[in-house]
Amino acid sequence: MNNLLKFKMEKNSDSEGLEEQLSILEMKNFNVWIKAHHILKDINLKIKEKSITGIIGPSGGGKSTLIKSFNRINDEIANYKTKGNIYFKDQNIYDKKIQAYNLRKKIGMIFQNPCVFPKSIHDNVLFGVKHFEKLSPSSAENLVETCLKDVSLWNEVKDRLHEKACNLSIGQQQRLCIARAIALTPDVLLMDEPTSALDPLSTLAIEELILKLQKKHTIVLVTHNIEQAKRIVDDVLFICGGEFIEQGTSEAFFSQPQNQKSKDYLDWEVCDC
Amino acid sequence: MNRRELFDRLFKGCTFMALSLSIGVLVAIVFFIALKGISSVNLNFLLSKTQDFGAQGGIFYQICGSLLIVFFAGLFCFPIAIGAALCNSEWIRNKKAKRFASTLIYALNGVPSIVFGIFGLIFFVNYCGMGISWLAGSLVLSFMILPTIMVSSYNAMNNIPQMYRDSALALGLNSWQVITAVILPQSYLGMLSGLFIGLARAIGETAPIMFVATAFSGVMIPTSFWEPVSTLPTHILALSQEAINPLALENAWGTAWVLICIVFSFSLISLWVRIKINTGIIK
Repeated sequence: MNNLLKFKMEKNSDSEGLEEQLSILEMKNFNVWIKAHHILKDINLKIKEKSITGIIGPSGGGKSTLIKSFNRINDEIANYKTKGNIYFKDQNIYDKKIQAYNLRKKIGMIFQNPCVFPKSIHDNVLFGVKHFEKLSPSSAENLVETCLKDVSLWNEVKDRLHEKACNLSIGQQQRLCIARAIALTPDVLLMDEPTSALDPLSTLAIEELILKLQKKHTIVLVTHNIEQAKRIVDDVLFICGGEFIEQGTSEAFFSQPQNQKSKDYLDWEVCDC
Repeated sequence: MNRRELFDRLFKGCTFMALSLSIGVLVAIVFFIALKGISSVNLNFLLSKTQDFGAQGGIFYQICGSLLIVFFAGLFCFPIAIGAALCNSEWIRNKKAKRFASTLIYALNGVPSIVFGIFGLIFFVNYCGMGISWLAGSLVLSFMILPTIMVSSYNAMNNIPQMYRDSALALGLNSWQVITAVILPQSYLGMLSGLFIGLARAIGETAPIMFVATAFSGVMIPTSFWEPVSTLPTHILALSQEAINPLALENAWGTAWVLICIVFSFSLISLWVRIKINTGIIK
């Protein structure tokens, strides 16, 4: 826990100039329909570079759909329709010229349940990156080591890199998934409730890791855990019933929410949307 | 014992009888054929050619013919079955369209084998001008076992949790890379299992190839695509129709025994692959 506090304090001193930070992702009048359901309604928001933005809101409110729109992984869903734009570094990612798989190299994603491939730990780290870069054996070894060190997994697995990844604990698997994503050096890491399948100790490890990763990557984190949001995020986005309700810095949002719906949600963890 | 208990026991007894009957039929057939056929099977029988219209000699060319015809049938239909399964599992997103495609494939599986035979005769032998040839037989058999392999491959692909595809896509892989890195490595055992079930079925078929690919006597190992072969099932058919000579009939039993052994070995390979899937080699 001390580590988390230390990270948080370091982070606060680092992020004093947050207001001036540039936005790396921006949604403009963004709408999503799946079949006839209007899931996201006219969302406008900005995500600042090298910050941790927490998306919170009640279940079924569209948080997951929102975060999965940033790397267009929702494109795989049948009858998925969008209107409006999302800009990544000032380029519209729904532009016909943009290929979704190239975008996903720059915008990585961590899912709720860790999903390691039935390969060794070593091969899992290289799973994505080996499709895009020709790595010599020695640079591959270095990359595996760096990524596993970045996610604080190296000391736990360095003697068994060639063992099956599915033998790791769930918490370790989730960190391996993060290592696999950062091997591609993405600008943004989207995390869809990355700790909801984990025990408290593993959750803490992931939270520490998120604070550490923020130095190199912009983090967008969906969480239903208000305490977690208080612990680690810089900026809060509150989404309810598919609508954008309010955005603010963590301190402002949690101490003085502006909207009645936000107040209700913080008090009762449900709201009337 | 009250009525409910009696009914309970009676019902349990009936299900046991049904199971024993099903297994009993298989055991009886295998036992009977082994009893009749095992005496005429020896190395010489397996490795020599047929003489005196089947009354003398062995079944070497029939074994070769059967293996040749099903090997090529597997070779022709495996890529098509995998392609069809991939298309249905990975590219068609509409659930109704998926189900419609699967239903049609099942319908192909339900076509009686003699209909395949007639189709082969009209289309390949006459219309395409292949003549009675082992190649035409292989093509007909490949159509026949296509649904078995396709359904088995499709199920294997469909059983891969969506999470794996999403994780691979999230790492920037395109559809082709997802297929080669995730889908094929995680479903190949299901495909192989389907292939061997299909081959086990194909090698025992008579009706689809009897007009299309086989001749009874005078065939050797073919040297071109356009020659007929003799196969184990058509050999059994011919010998049992010529059943005047008791020696020929004895050889028919021997041939049946060899055929059953080959079918079982294909089935066992398929079973072994299934066990490998279930014991989590790929998990």
